[in-house]
Amino acid sequence: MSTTAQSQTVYKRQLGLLLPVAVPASKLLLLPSLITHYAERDAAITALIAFLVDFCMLLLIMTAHRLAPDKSVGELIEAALGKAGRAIVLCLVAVHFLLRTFAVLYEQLDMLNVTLYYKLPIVPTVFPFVAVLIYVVAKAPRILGRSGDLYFVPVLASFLLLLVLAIPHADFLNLLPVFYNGLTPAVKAIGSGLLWFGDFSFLMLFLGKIHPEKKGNGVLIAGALGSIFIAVLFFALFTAVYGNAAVRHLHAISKISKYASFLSNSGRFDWFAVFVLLIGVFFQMAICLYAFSESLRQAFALKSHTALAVIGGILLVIASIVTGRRFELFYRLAAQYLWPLFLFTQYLLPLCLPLIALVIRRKNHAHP
Amino acid sequence: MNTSPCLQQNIEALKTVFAGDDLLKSRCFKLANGTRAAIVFMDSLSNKKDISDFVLRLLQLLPEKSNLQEICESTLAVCEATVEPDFEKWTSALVNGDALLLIDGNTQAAVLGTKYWQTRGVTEPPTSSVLRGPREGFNEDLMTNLSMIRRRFRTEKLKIKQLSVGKYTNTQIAVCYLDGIALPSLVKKVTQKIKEISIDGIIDSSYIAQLLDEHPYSAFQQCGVNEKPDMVAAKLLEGRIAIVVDGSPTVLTLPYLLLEDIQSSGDYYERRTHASFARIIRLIAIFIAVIAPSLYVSAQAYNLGMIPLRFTVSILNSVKGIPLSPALEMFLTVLIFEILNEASIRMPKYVGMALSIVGALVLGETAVSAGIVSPPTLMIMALSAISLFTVPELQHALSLLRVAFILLAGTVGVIGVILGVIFTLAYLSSLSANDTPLLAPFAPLVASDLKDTFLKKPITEMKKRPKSFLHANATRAKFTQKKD
Repeated sequence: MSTTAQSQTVYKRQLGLLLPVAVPASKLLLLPSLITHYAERDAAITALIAFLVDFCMLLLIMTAHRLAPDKSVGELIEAALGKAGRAIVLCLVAVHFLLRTFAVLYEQLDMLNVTLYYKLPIVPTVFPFVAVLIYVVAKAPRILGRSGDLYFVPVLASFLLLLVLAIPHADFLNLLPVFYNGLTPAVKAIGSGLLWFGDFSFLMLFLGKIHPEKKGNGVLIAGALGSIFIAVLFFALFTAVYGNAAVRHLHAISKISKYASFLSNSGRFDWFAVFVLLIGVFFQMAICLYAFSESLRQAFALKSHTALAVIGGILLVIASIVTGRRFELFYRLAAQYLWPLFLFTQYLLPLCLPLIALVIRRKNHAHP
Repeated sequence: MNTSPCLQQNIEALKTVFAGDDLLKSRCFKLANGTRAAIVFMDSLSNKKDISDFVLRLLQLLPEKSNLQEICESTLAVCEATVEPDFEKWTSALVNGDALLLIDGNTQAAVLGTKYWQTRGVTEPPTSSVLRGPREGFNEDLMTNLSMIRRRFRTEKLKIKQLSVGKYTNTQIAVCYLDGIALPSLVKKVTQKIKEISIDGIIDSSYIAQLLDEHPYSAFQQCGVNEKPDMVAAKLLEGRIAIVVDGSPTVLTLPYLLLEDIQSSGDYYERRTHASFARIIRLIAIFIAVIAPSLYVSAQAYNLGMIPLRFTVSILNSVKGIPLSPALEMFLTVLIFEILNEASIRMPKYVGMALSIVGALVLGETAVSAGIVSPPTLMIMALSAISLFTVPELQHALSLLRVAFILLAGTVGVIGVILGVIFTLAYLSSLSANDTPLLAPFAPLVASDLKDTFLKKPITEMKKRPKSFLHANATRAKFTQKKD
């Protein structure tokens, strides 16, 4: 029974349902416009390439889990690099996930500010946001797993509603011809948006906490592929609806269904779908903040991650106050100087984990 | 205290223990063989007619016996008669409504089952009415309630454990379960917890519910509350445990799922299509009750574009000149409603009608005419209030949430509502009681249990007991399925 027998473990099925909740919604804020800036009409296919690479990382992480099911990422790194190596690597991972949390937090608050209110300043809205975020992260990973179960259907229904509203205004010829300018714009787009990809790397921090059941792999894989499908579909739809003007439309999630003709009579009820998707965005942040606090916990072999989540929350508030609405500074810093960090945590580390797990497994077999 | 062979000393001892309690009565008489004897009982707790017809009369007429055991076996015509040497047991029997037969020369007493007191009749409970299905509800008498449950299980598998809790009230509590279906470890755990309760008194089953709560500060209950025996019987069949408390017309069931409060016993007696429809309506009602006022506040305060254009114009016309902010206006309306609600529960029934007129018509109409409250606010509040009553068991928790959501919407707009929803559901997902997550079968998802949630499947497809909580036997029925 999947209830309370192992309260601090997460089922693969739950992670599989959490992925479509948290991953695609967070890709529909600034990223479509950002990718379009470089890749233009190839935005969707560019995103597809990046997501497929991410999917390979997920497979690698799950391979590491299969080889050493009871080992956490910290234990795996320690086996390869020792305690000091573990601390350094996991501190880098923590920084990476805190930056990701901040990026998503900023995007979401900016979207709310620009599209919903004109009165509320960004800073006071951060406080309740971070408070709920800390609460959810403190109760993680169980709550994160259960949230996947809970929000999967509403989030999927919301995507479907936006899809139905947007499709009549889409001209899919806007997507052609594919790679007219070659692959360089796509590579540039992925490089500049590295911070927005590599979502599945958070699964590293769930290693050792995934319930050791054999079933559930299918749901996890389907969840990952489903989230990639939804995100790419919406990228394609965004380009199909706005064509060359897509780059000027930030916050795609709130714009994609804007021109559905009957909304003028019925009101923007599509916002209800947007609000549900914002819950998905919230859970993307929660996952990232959990990954931050959990990686620090493992780095310093602490008992609980709650205090670290509080520290992460405080840092988010401070960062919001300091940067205010100058997100472009943060973006420039991330794109120009921090890309080696993202490459390391999103791609290099997941690549190494199965190898380390394999060595550990062989050692255990040799000296049981 | 020691018992004595002297009848008078025993009576005096009892009178000393119950000094100040004028309900203790004793009646001295002589047996047919001339031996002195006495009947001691509590007036109003024992049946005097039974005592005179089936005890006194027979003892005075039938000859030649002064041995208590013999008298109990062959003379007395009462169902329960035991010989008891312990003085503590004598006093306990008296306060429970039993009568004592004392005979001179005996250090023992016969405890006679003569309990009798007035109880409320078996009526339809106020909050669990059904159009179809059993209508009888529990009353305050433990034995009546147990008989209503027992009558539905003509099997020795129904086990009823009687316990006594409360230093001064000695309240009788019965733990009921079906042997072979309920999880033995849970039965043991619950029984042990009840036995360990140390308190001066238990007045109602809600005391037990609170004492068993694993999250005492939570606004959400963690025990099922039932007013009807058919509901309890159905839950026992699912592998739950029922706790019946003397003096309480509600029976507790464990383990508890939040979903139970959205289900109604009537759902199982109607066609499944109607039951599913009713459950979806209740879910929408919960949404309207909690979220609608706050969404209106956030829409009016920050985002009128959410509302269709024609409604926007009419809302703008209605709110013109209202001096209060949308949040404050809604908050005051909620406050007035809660005051009216509290007053109507406690007021005599005949004043209720007048209160409704004053509350709904006079106050509402005047507030709108005076330009203090706008008609849309009043309408949304009324809709929310009515919706709340579709799930009476969750009423208190939901009304608290409604106030919190209005405050959130008033301060940070729709994002406050979203954060409220996330927080509430995260909190509920984290709650577990008796090893059962409150939000199961939704979080964690138990796919096989979804067939009895919002879209109810036919009874022929419910072959297994719910997996959301642990029980000893998974199979409920074996049907040969007939396809349409």
